[in-house]
Amino acid sequence: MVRKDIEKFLLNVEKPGRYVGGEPNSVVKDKANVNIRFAFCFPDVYEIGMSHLGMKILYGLYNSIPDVWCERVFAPWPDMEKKMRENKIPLYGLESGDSLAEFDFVGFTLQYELSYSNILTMLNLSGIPFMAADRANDDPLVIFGGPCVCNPEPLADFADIVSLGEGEEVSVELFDLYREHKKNGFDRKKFLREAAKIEGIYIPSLYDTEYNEDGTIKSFTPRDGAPAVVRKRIIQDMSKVYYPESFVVPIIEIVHDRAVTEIFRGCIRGCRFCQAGYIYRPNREKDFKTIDCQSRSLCDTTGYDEISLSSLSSSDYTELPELLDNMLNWTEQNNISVALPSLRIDGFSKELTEKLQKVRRGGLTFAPEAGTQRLRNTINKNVTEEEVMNTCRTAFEGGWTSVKLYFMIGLPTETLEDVEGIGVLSQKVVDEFYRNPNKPKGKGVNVTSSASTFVPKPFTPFQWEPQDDIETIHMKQQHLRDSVKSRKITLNWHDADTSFLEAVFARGDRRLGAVLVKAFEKGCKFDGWDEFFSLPKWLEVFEECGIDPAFYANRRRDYNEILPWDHLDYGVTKEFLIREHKKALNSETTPNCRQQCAGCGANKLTGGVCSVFKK
Amino acid sequence: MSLKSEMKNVVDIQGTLCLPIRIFFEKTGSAKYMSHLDLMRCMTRTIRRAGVPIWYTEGFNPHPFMTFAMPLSLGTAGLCETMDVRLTDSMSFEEVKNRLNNVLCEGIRVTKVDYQQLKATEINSAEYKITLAIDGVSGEDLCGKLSEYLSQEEIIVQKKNKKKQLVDIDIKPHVMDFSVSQQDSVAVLNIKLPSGTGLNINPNIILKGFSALLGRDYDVCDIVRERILTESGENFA
Repeated sequence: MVRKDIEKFLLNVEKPGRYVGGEPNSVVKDKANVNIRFAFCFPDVYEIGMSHLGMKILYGLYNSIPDVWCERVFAPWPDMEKKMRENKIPLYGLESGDSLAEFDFVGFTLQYELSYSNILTMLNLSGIPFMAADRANDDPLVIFGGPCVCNPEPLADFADIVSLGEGEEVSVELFDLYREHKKNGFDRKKFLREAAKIEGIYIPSLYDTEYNEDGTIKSFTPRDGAPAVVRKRIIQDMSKVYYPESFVVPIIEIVHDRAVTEIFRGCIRGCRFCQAGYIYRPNREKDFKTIDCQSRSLCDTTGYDEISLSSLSSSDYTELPELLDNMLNWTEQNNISVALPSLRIDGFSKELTEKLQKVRRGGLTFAPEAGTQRLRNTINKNVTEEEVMNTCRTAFEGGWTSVKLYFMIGLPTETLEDVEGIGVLSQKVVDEFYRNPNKPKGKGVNVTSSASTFVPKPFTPFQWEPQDDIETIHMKQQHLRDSVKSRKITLNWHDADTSFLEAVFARGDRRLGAVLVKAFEKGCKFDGWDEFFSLPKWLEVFEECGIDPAFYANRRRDYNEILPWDHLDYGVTKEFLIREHKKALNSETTPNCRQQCAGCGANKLTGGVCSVFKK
Repeated sequence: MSLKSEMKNVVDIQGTLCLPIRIFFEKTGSAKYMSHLDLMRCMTRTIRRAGVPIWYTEGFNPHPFMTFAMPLSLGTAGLCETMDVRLTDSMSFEEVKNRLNNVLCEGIRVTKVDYQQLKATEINSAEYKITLAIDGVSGEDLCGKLSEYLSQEEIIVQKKNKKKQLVDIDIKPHVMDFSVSQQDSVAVLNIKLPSGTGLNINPNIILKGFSALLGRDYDVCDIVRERILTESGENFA
C-alpha cells in the first residue's frame, strides 16, 4: 500500500513504482492475526532485488505460515533516500508501509560484498542501532543469510543471527523458537543462546576473537555453550521442499522479469575459482515432473511469457531431454519461451538448440574462463579448445551470428601468455564463423569477449591466494587490449577497483566492521554501481581506521593460518581444498563428481552417501 | 454466447474470427506510478493470468494485440481509461470483467466491458480534477491566485515541441473550460483541455507555469482525468 506521506515527493524521484508496493500476488495480512513480522531486505535497488530467486522462495514460504507476515524491503535509490531523510520517513515494508523498527526480524540477504554499505544505510534509515550489542530487548533481531555469509565476519558486529546454508527449514525452526520465547517473556540474550543450538544458526556475539601481532587470527573461542563449529543447513530432497506457486509480479520492469524454476542445487564441476561450486554442495536435482508442474503453476499465476530454468550449470541436469519435452508441450501452445541459462560449452548440442529455438532465440554465452589450456586446467574448467570450437560451429550452423565469451583476468599462476590467449581464442572463434560454408549472406560475426577480474573467495581452493594488485590488473588489461586486433571482437573488461574492494570483504575479518561504519559515515553506498563507487573514498576510510586493505586482498595465506571462516562448516573439508590447491598449481584437473568422487567431504551433509550417487 | 451469435460484430483477422471489445478501467492509487509501458506489460500479464482468450499478433514473436486510447502521464490518475482487444472465443462481457478484476494489481479496476462503439480518433477533449495545496498558503488564497492566473488574457507556459525543445506558448485559447473551488486548505481545479490524436494539452504544463509564478512547489498535487469526450460532447469513456 502506498504511504500517503511519500506521495508529495514521489513524482520527483526516479521510478516511483519502486516504492509503492501493491503488486499482484504481494501478500497483505491483518496485523492483529500475526505473531511474527519479518522484513526481508535486499540491500540493492528494487529492480535487482525483485529479480532474486531466494527472496521469492522465502517470501512465499514465510507467508504460507498463518501467523508470519513477511514483507519486502529494498535499498532506496539515493534520490529517494534524500527525500526520506528530509521528510523524516523511516525505511518501510512495501506491503504495510510500516517502519522496519516495528518488525520482529529484519533479515538481509548477502548476495555480493559490494552491497554491504547499503545494509548500514538501511539500518540507519530504520533507526535500528548498527551494533548488535547496542540493540534493546525489543529492537528487531537482525539476521543475515545468503552466499556471502560463508564468511560473515566483516558484518559480525551488526548481526544478531547468521543463518548458514539453505534457509527453508532452519528459518521455520527459528520462528518456532521465537514464538515460544515471545510467549514466555522475551529475553534477547536468552533467545540468542538457545538459537545457537539450532544447526545452521551462528550467533557471532557468542564468539571471541584474538589476533596475532602480524594481524592474523590467533584464536576463535565460543562462549555460553555455543558450538565450536557451526555447520550449514541443506535441503535433503529438492522435489519435496517448498517452492512458491506464484511470484509477486512487479509493476515496473525489473532485471530478470520472468518466471524461474530451480532445477538443482550444487554443482558437479568443481571449477576452482567458483565459490558457488563449493558452498552449495552436494549436487541435488529436482525431479523433472516436479519442475514441469511448478513451472506451469508459476506461468499461470504470474502471466509471464518466459520461464527460466535456474541452476549453476543447466546442461548438467540429468533429465534435461525429458524436462524440455514435457515443458514444450504446453509452453509452445501458450507462447511461452523457455530460457536455459548457464549452459556449459560441452553441453550445447544440436538437439538442444533445436528445442530451444522452437520458441524464441536468445543470445549465446559461453564461459571458457581462461585463454589457454594450461590455465583452464589450473582452474579445473575441464573444457578443451576443441570443445569451444565445436560448440561455436554448431551455433553458427544453427544460424547464430554473435557469441559472448566470458573470461577472467588475474587467475592464480596466470602469465601474459595466458592473457594473450583470450584474444587468440576469440580470434579462432571469429575464424570458425567464416569457415562455415552456409553462413548467412551479408552478415558478419560478432564475438564479445568479457574479462572480469578474479576475486579469491572463501571455501575455494584459491582461498589462500593473493589477488593481483590493481596495477598488475591494469597492466594485464592493457596487454589484452593490445592483443586483440579484429574489429569482429568486442572486448569488455571489468573495473579492477571494485574487484579489489570485493576481495577485501570476501576474506575479511571482524576488524572490517569499523571500516564499514566509517564508510557509511563518509557516504559510501551502492558500491556495485559505477556512478557511486569511489575507491579513493574507501582508501581514506581504511587509512583512518588504520587498516591495510592489501592485508586482506593481496596477501598469500599459509595453509596453517586460522582463516576468519574456519569455524564454519560448509561441507567441503580444508584437506580437500588443500589437495585441490596443490593440483591447481601443477595444472592437474579433477574429474567431475559423476565421473569420480573427489572426496570433498560434503557427503556428510546427506548422511554419508553423496546425493550424486543416491539415485 | 458464442462468437457466431455475435456475427454482426465479428471480424476476420488473418483467418481468425475475432470480436473487438473495449475494456474500460480506472487507474488510481499506487497504479498511478506505473508508466504507460509498465501498464502495457501489466495488462498483457493480467490477461494471461485471467485466461481471457484474445488475439495474438502473428509472426516470429507473437504478442497480445491491445491498444490504449489516450496514455496517461506518470503520476496522473484516470477514471476513464480504455484498452481495446479482440476476443477469439466466446466469453460474456461480465465474465471478462470479473476475471480481470480477480487478478489485477492494486489501483486498477475494470468498470465495464463493451463493444468498440466510438473510434479513438473521435476523442477531442478531457476533463481533469486537480487538487492543489501548498504548506503555509490558505486554500482561499490559493484559489484566488489560481483563478487570477487562469483568467489572464494570455497564459504563457513552456511546452516541448516535436523536436523536444522547450518553447513558449499561449495556452489560454486552449483552456476550454475551468472552475476553481476551495475545500478547506486545498484548491480544487476542474479543467477541460484538448485531448486526442490532434492537439493534446497536458494539465501539468499549466500547473508548472502556475507553480513557477508562485515560486513554490506544491505539497499536494493530485491530478485525476475524469472524463474523455468526443467533439459532440459524448463520453468516450
